[in-house]
Amino acid sequence: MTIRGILQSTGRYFILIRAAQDIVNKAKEIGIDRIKTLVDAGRSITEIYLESCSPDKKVQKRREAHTLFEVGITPEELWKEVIRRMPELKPIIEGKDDYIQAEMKKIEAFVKGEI
Amino acid sequence: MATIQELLQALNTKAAAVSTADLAKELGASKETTLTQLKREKDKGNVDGNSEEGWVITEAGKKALGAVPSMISEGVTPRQKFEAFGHLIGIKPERVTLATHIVWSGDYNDLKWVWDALGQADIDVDLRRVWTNAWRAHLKKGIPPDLEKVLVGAEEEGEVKAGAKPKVEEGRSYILVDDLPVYVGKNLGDLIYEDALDLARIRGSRAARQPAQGAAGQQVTADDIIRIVNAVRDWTGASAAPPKSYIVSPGEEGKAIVQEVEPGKPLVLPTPAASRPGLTYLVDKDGSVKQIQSGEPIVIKQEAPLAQRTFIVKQTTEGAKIEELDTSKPIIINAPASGSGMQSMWPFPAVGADGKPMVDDKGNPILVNIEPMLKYMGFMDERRRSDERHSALMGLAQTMKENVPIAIEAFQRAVAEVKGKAPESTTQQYECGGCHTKFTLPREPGEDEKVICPNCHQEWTGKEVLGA
Repeated sequence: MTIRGILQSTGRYFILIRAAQDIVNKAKEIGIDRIKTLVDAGRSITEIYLESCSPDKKVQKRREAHTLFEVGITPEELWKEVIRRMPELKPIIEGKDDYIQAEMKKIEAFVKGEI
Repeated sequence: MATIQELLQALNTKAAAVSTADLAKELGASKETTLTQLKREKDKGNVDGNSEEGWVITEAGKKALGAVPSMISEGVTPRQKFEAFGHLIGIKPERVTLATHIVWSGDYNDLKWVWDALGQADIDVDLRRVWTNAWRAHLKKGIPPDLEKVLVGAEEEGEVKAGAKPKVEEGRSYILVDDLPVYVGKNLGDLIYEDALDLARIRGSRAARQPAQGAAGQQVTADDIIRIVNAVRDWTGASAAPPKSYIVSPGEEGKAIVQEVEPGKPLVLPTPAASRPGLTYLVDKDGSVKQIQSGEPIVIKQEAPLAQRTFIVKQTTEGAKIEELDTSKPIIINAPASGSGMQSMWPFPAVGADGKPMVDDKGNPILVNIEPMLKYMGFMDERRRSDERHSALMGLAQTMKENVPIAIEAFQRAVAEVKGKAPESTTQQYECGGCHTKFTLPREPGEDEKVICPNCHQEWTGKEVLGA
């Protein structure tokens, strides 16, 4: 791999880490106990988060998500990075694949502007 | 109750016998009272008659009244006149009385009815025609269309059919009604056709002149003149003669002058007085008024405008000096050498609220030193720029502080990816001793600080967490 490839990979990781870190910071704001309660009740954390965002904030987040997809980062990859940086989330969502798939679809719909 | 005088007066005005009720109504009295008065006067011989046939005044009553003769006594009532015509024609008196009774049973002003009524009285056609025509002339009426044939006669009818101008009859067959000739039957009128026509024209022209004569002394309007001209044209039979042209021009004292224009002859119109040149006056700058004669020239001298005074402000070490500019001399500006130590306090003219330069009592402009204000404004601008620069630097530093660890981690992971080895996470992870759940902390805890496992909520001290 050339230097250029290293720089491209570095940029991709930079975007991925920064997006994951934002999610982790937001999760720590909410609290791990509250997240566990919401997940056990089947409530979508993505919806709750988007409802609390202003229109300008939504535009900013949608632009960041577009950047992620443009560099080839998938929602699953972002989710793994979040779990990697916040391992206490892993036992909360273990075995809840349907919930995770529903959250991924909601993120995709948000990026497409459907919600 | 009416007086005896009023009673006799009312009877004297009547052409025929009047009933008690009508007389009482006219006098405004009761019927009984009036009847009592009439019977009393009858006993005196002043009135005659009764309630059935009516009441008339007698000659004795007229003498007692001492009054003017009545229409009956004068024989000029319509009925008396009608009977008189019958007597003049030579009809027997009893037949005249009968015919008059029949005629008076209807409208004696209606000639058609009069003709029919006389026929009912068995009056011969010739006498009927003469009697009816006489009565028609007395009423001053024309021949009704229905009676035209019977009153004019059969032989005249034949002439009408053969004649080229049936209305223009020979003899006195016309009268004037409303100043127009009206045919009333052959030899039954007062005028022949030509006389009736001329008389109608004269009366028409007189009627046209009357408004102008009544307005003598007043201004004659154009309408009056046109009316006069038309009347003259009608009277002179202008329809046969070639039309004449007239020019009406305003005269003295508001009157109008009418001039006939003769063909082929020029007409010179007098110049109206209003067009004559009037007097001319000149008002000079002092307001005095002077009459200008015709042909006299008017010379207006223009004064040179006051020269504007221009001042030059010189900045010297002794302060600002003001000198008036001589427009005939050049202006020399001595620029001070740099570093000469002279203050750069250029005077600035003060401007009032009206936008004009302010002056002192002597008329010199007032100067203001605005350098301290400029320095203060420069200081404020510099401070604002410094604050903005500081804020930008702080924001940049914060961004770098947040992103540099991420950039380092991203670079390490990219390099590890190249080497085919997953990099170690730079985030410090801790593991619960009870449930063995791995978790992270925002910062490294102190030795005595409590740390709670997010999964089993077991409390640990910082020393225990760091030791593990």
